[in-house]
Amino acid sequence: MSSSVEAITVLSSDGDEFKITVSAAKLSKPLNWMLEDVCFSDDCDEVPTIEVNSKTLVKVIEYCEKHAPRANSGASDSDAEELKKWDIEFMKMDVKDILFHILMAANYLHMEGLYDLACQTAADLMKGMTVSQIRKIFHIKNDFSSEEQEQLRRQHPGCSFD
Amino acid sequence: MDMLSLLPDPILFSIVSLLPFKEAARTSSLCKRWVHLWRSTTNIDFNEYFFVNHEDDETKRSQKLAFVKFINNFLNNYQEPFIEKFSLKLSKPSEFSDTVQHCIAFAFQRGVRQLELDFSERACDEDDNDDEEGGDDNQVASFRLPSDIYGFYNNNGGSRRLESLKLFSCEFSLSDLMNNFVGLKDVSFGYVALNLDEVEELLFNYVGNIESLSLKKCWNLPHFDVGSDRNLNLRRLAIDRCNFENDYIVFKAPNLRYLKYSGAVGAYDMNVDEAFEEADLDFSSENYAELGDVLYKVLLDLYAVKVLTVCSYFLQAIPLGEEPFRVHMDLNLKHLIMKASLQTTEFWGISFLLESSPSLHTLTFNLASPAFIFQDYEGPVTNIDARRFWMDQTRYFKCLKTSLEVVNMKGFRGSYNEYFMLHALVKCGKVLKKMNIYLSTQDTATKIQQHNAMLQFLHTTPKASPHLNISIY
Repeated sequence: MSSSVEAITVLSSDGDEFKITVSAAKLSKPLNWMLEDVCFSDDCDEVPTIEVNSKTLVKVIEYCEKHAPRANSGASDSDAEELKKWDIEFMKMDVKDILFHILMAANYLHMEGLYDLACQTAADLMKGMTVSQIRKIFHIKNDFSSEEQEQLRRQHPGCSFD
Repeated sequence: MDMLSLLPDPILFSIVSLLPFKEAARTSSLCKRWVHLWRSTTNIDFNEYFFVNHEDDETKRSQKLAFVKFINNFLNNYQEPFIEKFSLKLSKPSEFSDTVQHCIAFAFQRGVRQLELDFSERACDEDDNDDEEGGDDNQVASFRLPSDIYGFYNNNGGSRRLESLKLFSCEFSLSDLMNNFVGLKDVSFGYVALNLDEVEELLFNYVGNIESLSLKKCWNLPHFDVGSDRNLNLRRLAIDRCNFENDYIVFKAPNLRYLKYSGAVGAYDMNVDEAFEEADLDFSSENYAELGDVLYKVLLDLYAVKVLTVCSYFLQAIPLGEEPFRVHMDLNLKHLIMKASLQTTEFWGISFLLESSPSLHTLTFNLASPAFIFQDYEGPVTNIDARRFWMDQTRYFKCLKTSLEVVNMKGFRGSYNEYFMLHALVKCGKVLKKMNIYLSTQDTATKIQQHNAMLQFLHTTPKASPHLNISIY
């Protein structure tokens, strides 16, 4: 691989161009393969498309750039601590708007760290909430009839459903 | 259409697996798609007390049968190849040994990472106040881990997967465990007989690396003296009411971050390093001997401690040693938690720790716990009046001038001593930002109302810190 390449350009699903540094792209297996592809091919003008919308891709790249130095070199406890705080801040986002796009993107790009973080964020939003609160947070429509609901109640003793 | 519904099942499985089991089960009533989703959770926790909560024996019985039926049903319908966590809490398991065997085989076949089997008799949601429990003190474990279980595990190359193992009232062979699992990091044993040689074998000669060891009410151990000449790799160590023949705690653990010790006062030689973070010490012993010097040595041993929890006994005994007023050097404490009753017999001990901790940031009084009170106590100076005492003593606490920003008092019951402790801190805490007072919930509504009214006077006390914000909960 040529060492002169420091960043690659990709297209989002909306057709916008983004730059990702080589070290950041390594956090994702598919991106890493793409990178090798770009570097090895003679025709370096080819810009690969990533099936993630621009708004989400901005966040994904932000995450990659932040985590890359640590992923590539290992880090001390205090760095890990700092990074954890950064992650929490990073995840403060609108649920409906972007959290689930990030989840899909992390899944699609095989980014374990970001995937775990986004799942944890979603789970934390549900923790300690009642069923109706969860429905409200995630805009889930209750599609049970009242008979069905009663049946569920009987099936799961020890759990409350309100 | 909600976003959640657009996600494919495997992603939802990941999310559900991060919820406590009971909450995961509850998602079944969100909407139709979720009815069975939660059954793929990789975080399984069968807890008898989720099901059995009735007073009456007959109802209890039928609840327990429903619980066992639920377990079998759940296991028979489970589809995922791997699980992360499996926990079974079941008292008197012998009657249901088929189900228990089924559970263990199930967990091992699926390469469980964290396994907990708890057959002890404990009240439902407590963790510590289990003094009234029944069958556990007669020193017989309720269940014996069958020796043929290990075969199940090897299918999935799983002997490396098991990282955390918690066994309560469950007999086992430690050498079998060590031979069959090479990835153990975190082990907890409770309500079971242990052999010190085997524990040492686990700590020093095990092929993997044990980072956390917890022993709760284990019996047959003579002491916990594993020598100060060889390094323990542990990061966490908890020794909880183990009824040693002799309470010797001797070890050298340069990586240790956390220590919990609960038991009688004995002899200690604990060697830790700068990395040490947190200690939780509870000497609620019935030992009347005044052991200030022993406790003083404990503080010196744990010199690097940043978060310290002490019991009432500690506060009463510490000023009775040769150094009655403070540790001769400064402690590095950031957060001090005192399980105190704020009786005058504890005052010198509280003062002792505050004076020794010039960089203390947070001070927490946990008044809820019952305290052990020395009879015929004679502190360094007797006849103490709370108001006077704290106004005098606070002059010596450097942390009040430079570092103490947060004070929490949990379980406020409106006593004179409680009030004047807070009063002095308000008056003298120059950099205080936050004072959180939690009223005791065990009082009647009228009493709570009165305590609340009393605390309003704190607002009128002249504050040494312009930024102090007092909240009452």
